[in-house]
Amino acid sequence: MSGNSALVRTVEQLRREARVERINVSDAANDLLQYVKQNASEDFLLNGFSVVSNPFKEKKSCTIV
Amino acid sequence: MTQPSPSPLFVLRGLNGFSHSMTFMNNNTAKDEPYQDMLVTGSSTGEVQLWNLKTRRVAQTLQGHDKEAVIWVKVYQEKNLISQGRDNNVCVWDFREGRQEVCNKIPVTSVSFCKCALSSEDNGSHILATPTCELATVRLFHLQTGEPISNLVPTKPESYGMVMCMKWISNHQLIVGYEDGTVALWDTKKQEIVSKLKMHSEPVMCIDFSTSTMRGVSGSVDNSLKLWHVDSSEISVIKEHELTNAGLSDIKIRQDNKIFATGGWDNRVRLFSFQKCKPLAVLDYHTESILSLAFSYPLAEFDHGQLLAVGGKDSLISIWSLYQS
Repeated sequence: MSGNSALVRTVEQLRREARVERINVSDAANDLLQYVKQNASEDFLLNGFSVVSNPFKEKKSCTIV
Repeated sequence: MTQPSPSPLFVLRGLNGFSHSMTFMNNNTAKDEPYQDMLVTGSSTGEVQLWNLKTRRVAQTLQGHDKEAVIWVKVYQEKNLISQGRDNNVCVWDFREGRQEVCNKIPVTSVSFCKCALSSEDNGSHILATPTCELATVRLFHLQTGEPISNLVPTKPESYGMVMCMKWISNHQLIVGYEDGTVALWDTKKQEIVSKLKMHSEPVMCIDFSTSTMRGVSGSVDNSLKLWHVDSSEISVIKEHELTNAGLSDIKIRQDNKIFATGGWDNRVRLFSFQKCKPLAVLDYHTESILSLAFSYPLAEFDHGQLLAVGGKDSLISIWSLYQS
């Protein structure tokens, strides 16, 4: 009985996965290709980024000893 | 089903990865060794392995596909082997005088899992039908020279989707199953579709055809199994069977045209009578999806029975001997 809730959760998860909308592999592949090509100009890994616009820049403050 | 499920004759273990394609071959593994019946498997780790059915061990391993999965192995003219790998090559193997080399390579641009198809002999030459990277396009090559012959492209390739599976039914007629569920009969000399039928609502996963009876079977992602007939170049469905669990990965007709086997995503192999599409047995052994099936020619070692080899995603290959009337 202790395994029952785990099994119920697994079945629920499988039901959710079965309801997911599916399209053909060739259409999905073409969509992915198109998306990547369209957004290539905004990709930092391809085009690099300016130091000023980096939101994750570590803030180093000066300490006066 | 009142009777319990039968057990396999034996199980081959020790395969690295799982086998995408299998076939039986009579070969010898070294120059002075006797010829024996072997099972050829193409594994997902890039090896083509020849198994000795008596010792049930791997007798020979061929590395020709640069560690990329081997998705198709085919024996032609009894002593020659070709293998298709996901390294974009079809390798023609040379076994003469104990060699184990690749003597020819034919490029296949497709990155899908669609297997190639080899036509039967026509004046000593064979035609190889391969999928390509372009949608719904099949490319034909001369096997012996590796020269491309032609491309078979339907008028609206986007509506057909990818080429999923192919089967030659004569030297100039090729059956192609597409991603949208259409099965088309091509005349390769005129390069046009002679007949087509939207057989399934989902991609056609597997096809097999018996030239002596001019009947074929096809399996798909959906739960319908179709038995159809090619009569004066027209495809027509004879029978449809609704499967208990959807999804078939492979379908093979036995050489004596009495039974055919289907391998499903539900880990089971189902046997049907070829004449009436009547379910005969369910083989319940594998713990994961079935990936490949192969029927043998009558094997002397096994009382001239025709064995069925089943390869699953669980890396096991089970060998069955059933309905050997």
